[in-house]
Amino acid sequence: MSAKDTVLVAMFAALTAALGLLPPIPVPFVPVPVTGQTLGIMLSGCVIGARRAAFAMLLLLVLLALGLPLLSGGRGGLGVFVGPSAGYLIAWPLAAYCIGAFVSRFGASIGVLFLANCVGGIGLVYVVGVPIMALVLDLSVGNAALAGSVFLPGDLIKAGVASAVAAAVLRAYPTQKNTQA
Amino acid sequence: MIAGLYLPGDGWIHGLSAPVKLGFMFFTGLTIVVISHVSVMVLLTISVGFIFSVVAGLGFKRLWLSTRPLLIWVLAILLAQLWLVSAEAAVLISLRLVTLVWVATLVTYTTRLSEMSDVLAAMCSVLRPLGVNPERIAFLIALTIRLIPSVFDIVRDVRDVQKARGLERAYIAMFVPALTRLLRESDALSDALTARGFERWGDKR
Amino acid sequence: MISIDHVTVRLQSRVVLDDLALSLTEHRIGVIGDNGSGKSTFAKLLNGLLLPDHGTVTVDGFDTRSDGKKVRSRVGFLFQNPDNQIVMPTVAEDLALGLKPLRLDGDVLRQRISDTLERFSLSHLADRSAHLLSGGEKQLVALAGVMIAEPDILVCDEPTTLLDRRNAELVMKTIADLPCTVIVVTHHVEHLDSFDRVLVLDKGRISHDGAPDCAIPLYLGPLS
Repeated sequence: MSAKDTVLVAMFAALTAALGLLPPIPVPFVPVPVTGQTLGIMLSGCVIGARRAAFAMLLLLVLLALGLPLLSGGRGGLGVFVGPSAGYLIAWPLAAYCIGAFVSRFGASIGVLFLANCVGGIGLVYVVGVPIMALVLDLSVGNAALAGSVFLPGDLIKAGVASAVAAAVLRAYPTQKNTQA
Repeated sequence: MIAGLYLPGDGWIHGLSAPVKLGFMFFTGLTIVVISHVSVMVLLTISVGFIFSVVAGLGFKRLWLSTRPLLIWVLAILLAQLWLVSAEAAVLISLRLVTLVWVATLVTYTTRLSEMSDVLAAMCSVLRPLGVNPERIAFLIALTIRLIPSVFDIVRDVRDVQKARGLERAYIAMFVPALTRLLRESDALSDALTARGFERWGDKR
Repeated sequence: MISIDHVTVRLQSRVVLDDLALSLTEHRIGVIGDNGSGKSTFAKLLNGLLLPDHGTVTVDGFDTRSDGKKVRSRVGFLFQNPDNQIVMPTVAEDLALGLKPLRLDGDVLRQRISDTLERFSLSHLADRSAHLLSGGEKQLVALAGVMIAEPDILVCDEPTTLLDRRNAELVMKTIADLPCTVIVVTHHVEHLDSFDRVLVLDKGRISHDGAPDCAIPLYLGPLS
């Protein structure tokens, strides 16, 4: 990895961690608090490219496993990897990679970004997260999906915000170098 | 600075080496998954809780604090299982979840960040033939820990500015300048690393 | 010696440096010019952080394009903002980072760090968090982090711009006392009186080039 790759990986891992430290943003009509960390995954995937974004998320998981409290609400340590939402965490690097790959393939228009965030940042995360939740709680996948769906409205809003932000950032910053995988 | 979750203590569990504790965690985890008898599970839960709070000296308050985030899940399990299967299954699965999280949390609370990093470094050196460089990974970790407070300050600064302009709900107006600044700082930082010889780290002398 | 041979740099479509040709052999060289005159770009050319679109830059015969690593092991670089330059949490750790390419043993490493700290009067700050220091202290730590690797040439890009007057004096005096060759890009012209040569950049070209008492008045001229 070049110096630039190293710094971007560390910076976006730090961003995703920092977004979890901010107080959760209340969103009208959504019963669960919307935390910024999904936003971090989506922004990483959109802005720094598939490979770096996947490394950034992997790095964040390593920091969590080492015992740093970097999830929203100050959670962290090995406990989060055996809880019901472990699958969502494990999906983060995959999601970031998928978003990045999608964007580098189909361009960085806001529509593509939104689609990428929905497919990678929501779809993929649920596909990995829900069955593991079902396994830990011994529910049927259908019931687990139902339980997981309370987060869906918040996640859709985040996909929208992340796409709009990424589109603007990619225009505001000279980025040919940033989007390549 | 970001501090780890490690809690200093002088019990013998604190004194065990990190690999031993991780091995213990893995073994207990397997046992927990295999047990299908409620009475055995209750026994195991009680012993793990006892080890956590008394033997390791972390106290009942910590035990409760690490259980609290799970309560909503336990409630979900109880509701779903009571309705679908049986009370026994519900209790078994709830206890599995709680015990598993206790064991993992126990390891995190009693092991220093540096010891965990050493385990990671050892794991990475096994992967060296695959192109994994433990030194660079250690640097990435140190760099990220150092960047988290700065990134947090940047995001908060920008949010305060937007608040002052009455735009506190305009998330886009808030994140665009923050992210642009992060990218600019990334450029400056990577220039500095390059100027300070980053590309020569792996070279032989 | 640094030779700059017909160098042109464009950023997007703007020409930032326009067909520069000069060689730098003096011990103390100052570079001044207005905002946007290409000063920072010029500085970054000298250690290959930026590569020219046309022409070549060579340091002691090494081309910045093909021998970037060798060039950067000879040319140290001090940035305007020490916050971006200081990478590790504590002062001593950050100094150690500059020595990483040398792969020194523990004792030799510690000795070199403590010698360097002493040389820059920073010994009392060794275990302090680098980011909680004052601006002047931070810039000195950044400088120590560069000099510990013993470069032959030090390039400074506006090292005093973010400092108050007193700290700016202190940092410039420290830089002026270094034994190695020094090239300083600055708009604090008062610091360049004792220098051997001053280059004035204007819109990407060298408008004046000579001894400070000659070049600086020509640069300040139109203002007064």
